[in-house]
Amino acid sequence: MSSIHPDQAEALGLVGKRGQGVERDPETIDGTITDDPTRRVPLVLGNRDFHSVTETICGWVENKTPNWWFPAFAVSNVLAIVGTVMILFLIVTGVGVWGLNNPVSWGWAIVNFVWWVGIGHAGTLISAILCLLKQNWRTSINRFAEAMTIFAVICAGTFPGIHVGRVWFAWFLFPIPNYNWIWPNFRSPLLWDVFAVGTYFTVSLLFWYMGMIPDLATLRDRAIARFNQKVTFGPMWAPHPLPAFVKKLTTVSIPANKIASYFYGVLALGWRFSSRHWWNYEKAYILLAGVAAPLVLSVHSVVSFDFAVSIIPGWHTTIFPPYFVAGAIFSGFAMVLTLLIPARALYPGMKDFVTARTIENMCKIITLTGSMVGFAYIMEFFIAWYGANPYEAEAFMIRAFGPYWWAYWIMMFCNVVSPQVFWFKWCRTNLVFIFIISIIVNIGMWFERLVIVTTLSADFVTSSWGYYSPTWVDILTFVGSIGIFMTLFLLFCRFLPMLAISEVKNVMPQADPHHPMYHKDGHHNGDQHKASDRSEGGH
Amino acid sequence: MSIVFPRWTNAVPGVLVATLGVLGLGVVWATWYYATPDFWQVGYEPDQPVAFSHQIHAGQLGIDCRHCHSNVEQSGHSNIPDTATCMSCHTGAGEAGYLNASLWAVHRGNSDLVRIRAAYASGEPIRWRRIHKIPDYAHFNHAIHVNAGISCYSCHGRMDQQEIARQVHSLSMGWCLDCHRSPEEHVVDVNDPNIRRITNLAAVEKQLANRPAQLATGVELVIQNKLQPPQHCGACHY
Repeated sequence: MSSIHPDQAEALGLVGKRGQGVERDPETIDGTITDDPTRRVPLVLGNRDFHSVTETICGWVENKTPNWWFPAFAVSNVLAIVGTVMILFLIVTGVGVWGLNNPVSWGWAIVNFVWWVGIGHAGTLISAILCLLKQNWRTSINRFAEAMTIFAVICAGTFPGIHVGRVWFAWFLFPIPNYNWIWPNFRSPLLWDVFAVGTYFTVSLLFWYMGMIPDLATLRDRAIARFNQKVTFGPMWAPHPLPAFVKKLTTVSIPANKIASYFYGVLALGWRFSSRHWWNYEKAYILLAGVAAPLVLSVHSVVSFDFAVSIIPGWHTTIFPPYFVAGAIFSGFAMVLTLLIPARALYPGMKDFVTARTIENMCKIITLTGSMVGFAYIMEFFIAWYGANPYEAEAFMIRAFGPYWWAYWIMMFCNVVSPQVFWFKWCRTNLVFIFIISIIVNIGMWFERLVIVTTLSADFVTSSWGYYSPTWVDILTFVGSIGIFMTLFLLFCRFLPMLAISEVKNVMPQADPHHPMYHKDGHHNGDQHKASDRSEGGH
Repeated sequence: MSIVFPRWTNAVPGVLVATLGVLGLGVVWATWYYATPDFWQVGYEPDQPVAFSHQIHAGQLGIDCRHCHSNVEQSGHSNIPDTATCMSCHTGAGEAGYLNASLWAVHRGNSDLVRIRAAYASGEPIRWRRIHKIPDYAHFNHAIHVNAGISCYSCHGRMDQQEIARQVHSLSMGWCLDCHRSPEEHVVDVNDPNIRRITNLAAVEKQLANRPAQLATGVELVIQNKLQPPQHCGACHY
């Protein structure tokens, strides 16, 4: 995005250190952890030039599929199929297959919806708000986080869609002129929710895709040069006596570069790396960032209105919108870390881009947002007492000490206590520890939504109080949604550029025309990406 | 930049957008035109087991609808008359059985009436085909509407001109709500000397066609009779 770059001398020193065999320094980890605010740490390590950045990131797509990918994909796929079968089972049988015959009629479906939408908030926060705030460390994780956002919102949108019961009437959610001559209730936050999540998904998808176009063009150009072999489809398995002419007639050979270059060529929309393209790209990027930034705050505010606009004690509170937004960012960052830490370990060279500093920054955001959420939990209790509304007070007492007390205290531990460990540097730099905490935060945020939704179990009419228990269909649908999410994510890792190549290059020292490496960076060395590199360096 | 696609592919996005646009508009138009009760329901005119003519009975002979559909003012369901009602005129029991003796010759050997009499004798009902259907989850109450001054005409049209009974309105929810939102366009005054009977279809048609006059009396009737047609879900879906 911008061409602000780390201080040259400092960056060169630290980057160089890494290259000279200092792989893990206890103080600075990979050379990027420092408490000195005057030092600007490098964002890309490993003495890389532009070409090696392209080679590494494209290599994850172009090289042979890593061995771990297949079992991971198989497991995700099985779970995704289980989830899909559960959804079909629900559609042909009815929503009664969930434990919904109960005052908690929103059930796990809405718990899962809010959880997934919340997770989907990190992508846009990282790509839009951190972009506008010129936080350059975001460039190595934004593509990754945006993809996670898209897939999380897909999982989220599934749940209200199937929760309506008769899914073929799901179009009633939208204000479409119809033969009943009625509109959806425009005063209902459930309708606002449709607009909010729909807008968010559209803008996130556009932002993600638009940002990827130059990288897709890079992959397209490399595909043409790379693959020379042909992919043969035909009866190669056939027994030996098959006549040669039959074999010949039934065998189709397609040059592999055609498949790849067509795939990336269509997606790249004719990108030519021209200056004019870059100029439009930069403008569009900053405009979309501007459009997306308020959405980060609005979407989960509107989701919180689903609860807050009702008159249920425990839901009808003004603190809901900010507390939901904080919780969403909290869970979103946790999910990014959950995915990023294994990916960083599994993909060669990713450590050079996703530095210890980047992960440390994310831990700090988790502590910040976790504290905000904790403050909100305590403030809800305070207001319930201070507001002197006995029903409100009772609702909160039931939350903490009622039938769902265990969910409440799991939530308190996971969301309030666990993120406080990141005050300690050891915790912020130990990847295994961070990974465990990120899982705990994900669990905690799911329980937060469970605690909120099960407020319905103690409604105004005491005779109809009830306890929600999930059925096996509830549980498998939720597990299946994780499978759908992971399937999509693994496909993304395999076939799309996981890091924003052009943006990463922009935050490297060489992007500055005055940098000593600028001229000897191999712009004119016959590398076919010289056009891309030149235009990036040129502004 | 490498060349992947030939030059002619430059036209593809434009052609694609245009094609999808036309297709999309076509789908919207087809849905608007075909996927409606106006297309699928209006004009439903099944062959009945007995060729009863409303045109002869209600039109030529001027028999009041309520002579046969006798419960319409008391019951939510407007009854289909049983064969005993037919037999009040068409007994076939000699000339004395007829109000108008001249009809005896015409109807003695009428095959449909022979079947009606056979059905009456055996107690086996005639299996009429139902024409006006609304879903199970929607309830319509005839008595309330008729007593509030909504003529048969408003829903069934000129039944007195129909040789074979036919559905003339869509009976869609939007069609119901249209009237519930502006009842003054349909409510008629049975005390009006020109109308006199709620079943006077010709007179009601004439009255409703004269829109300014209808609105003037309609608004007055709505106020006078405190007509507040409900628009909430529970009014019909209970």
